[in-house]
Amino acid sequence: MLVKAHSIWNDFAEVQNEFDRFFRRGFGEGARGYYPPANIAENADAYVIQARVPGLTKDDVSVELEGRALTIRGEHRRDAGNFTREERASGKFERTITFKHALAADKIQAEVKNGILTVTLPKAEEAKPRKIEIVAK
Amino acid sequence: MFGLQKKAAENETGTQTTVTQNSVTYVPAVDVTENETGYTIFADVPGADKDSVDVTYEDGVVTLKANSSAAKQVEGAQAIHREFRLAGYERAFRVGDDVDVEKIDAEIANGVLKVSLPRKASAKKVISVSAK
Repeated sequence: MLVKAHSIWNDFAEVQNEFDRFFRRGFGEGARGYYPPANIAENADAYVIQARVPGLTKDDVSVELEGRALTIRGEHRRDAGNFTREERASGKFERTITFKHALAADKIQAEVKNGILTVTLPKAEEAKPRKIEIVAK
Repeated sequence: MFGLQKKAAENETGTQTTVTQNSVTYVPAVDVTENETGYTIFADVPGADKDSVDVTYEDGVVTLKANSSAAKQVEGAQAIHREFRLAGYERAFRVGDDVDVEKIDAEIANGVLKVSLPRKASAKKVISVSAK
């Protein structure tokens, strides 16, 4: 149990570093900090990423996995009009999150529903925790 | 046209929050457009669907309320990084006399609540001036 807790904190630090790096770097198109906001959850088998993408449909978002780096790209489209108040995000965005564990690229699932993108990223078999049988001789 | 009813300090994600008793209520970001037929409010309410939004009009104020209850909860997993909450949303707008209250209409798609506020048919009247 202790070992497991320790590994989660390590992972947390990894992900946190990645976020920090992005936060410092910023984006060329003027987006402040990192976008879209994302929550990440983890269990023994997978990571689950939920990103806040109001107004986007599945045609506006793409999800790409390269090694351990997950990249979410998308664009907020908006109709032309005479705007008297303009607070919502607009334009293109891109965000990459790098994970510590090897990921099963062929089992990745992504869906966009009600403005929330959910990506389920199963860990590769070799990255899953394994119980080692101790043989008494 | 639209007076802001409630606004709290911005947090780092650019949305504003006001804290109610036990949960967080976001003040959703909105766009407002205006043309000759009326006004349209677009509010970001990710995680909400038709059953979890509520639009009311009372005493010249349109109130938008929503809840992220339609969002898929991640079960059996431990949160390792959190940047937003699946929370409630509330924002109110003061509406001018030119809006036809009976025809206010709301729809939701992909986590964006769209409220249409049509103008009343023109009540313009030319008053003739007589010389004495």
